[in-house]
Amino acid sequence: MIFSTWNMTSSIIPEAPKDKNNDIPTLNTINQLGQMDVPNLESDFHCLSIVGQIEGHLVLPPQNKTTKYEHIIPQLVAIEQNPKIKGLLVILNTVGGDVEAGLAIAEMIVSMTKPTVSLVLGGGHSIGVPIAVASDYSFIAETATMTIHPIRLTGLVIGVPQTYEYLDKMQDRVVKFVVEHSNIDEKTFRELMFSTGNLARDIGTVVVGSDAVKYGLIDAVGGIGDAVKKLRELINQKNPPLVN
Amino acid sequence: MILYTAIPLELVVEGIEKGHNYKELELSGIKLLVEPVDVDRSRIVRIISTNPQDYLNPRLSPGTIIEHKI
Repeated sequence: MIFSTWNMTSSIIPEAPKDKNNDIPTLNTINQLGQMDVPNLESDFHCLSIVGQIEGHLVLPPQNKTTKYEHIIPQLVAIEQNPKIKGLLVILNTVGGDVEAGLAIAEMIVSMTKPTVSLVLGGGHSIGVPIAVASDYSFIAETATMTIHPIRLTGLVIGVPQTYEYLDKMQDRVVKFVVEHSNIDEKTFRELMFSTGNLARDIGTVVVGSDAVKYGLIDAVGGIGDAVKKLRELINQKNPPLVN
Repeated sequence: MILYTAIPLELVVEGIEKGHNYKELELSGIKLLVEPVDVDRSRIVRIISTNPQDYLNPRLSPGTIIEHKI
């Protein structure tokens, strides 16, 4: 077993992958980012991007771009605990994924004491919807879309009785969460979820930017500038800056 | 588990039968699950640690290639 005899290159953890150009930081930056220098500004908030599929109990095949929930959860713990981090910006461009993993991330974001702002870019579909509404304030880009559809039609159930009641219960968890943490009412959300004629292969609705705000699902239409400004505002509200 | 996604299921689960070749290794006391990509290089798959700050370390983020001597 070669792995048992591995001699690690160094005992210091922040060890970058060994590279011939590693001794020359500028050259390294050009190599990796195609630019001369990265501004060295320490940010007091963290940005969590949730992209691709939300990977839960099942490891998805490599053609899926995934966000692993077992990594997101300890990161949220670290962000909550670290006194240097004052706020969290969640950026979503996700197609959905595991219901329980998605709800776990959403519940973590809801229960954080630090200010959180979410921004939906591109798409925040299916289980991305509860994550988007979980933050203190949510933004959606004008062209971004959110697909609201029932769970059971594209649902994959492993290891549990595939009863209608079970799927219905799972769906109620999602509906309840979204209704509780956004301004949409249950009737409207269910109407969107079960409307026909909008999706080719499914029932449901695709909600675009300003429509999501109109239904009360998302707080405002905006981009990264608005999201950062809002987060700064929430941070300042929570910890008023000292005035001398 | 239930997948709730806008992507057709057959695209998501395509190739799921293929197994993974994961190995565990310890790097300065932090246990990592890695996937070997070469004889002397591995890609980090996940971190197995109870210290939440380890998960914010960019050098240990999943997908990072680490080098080691054979």
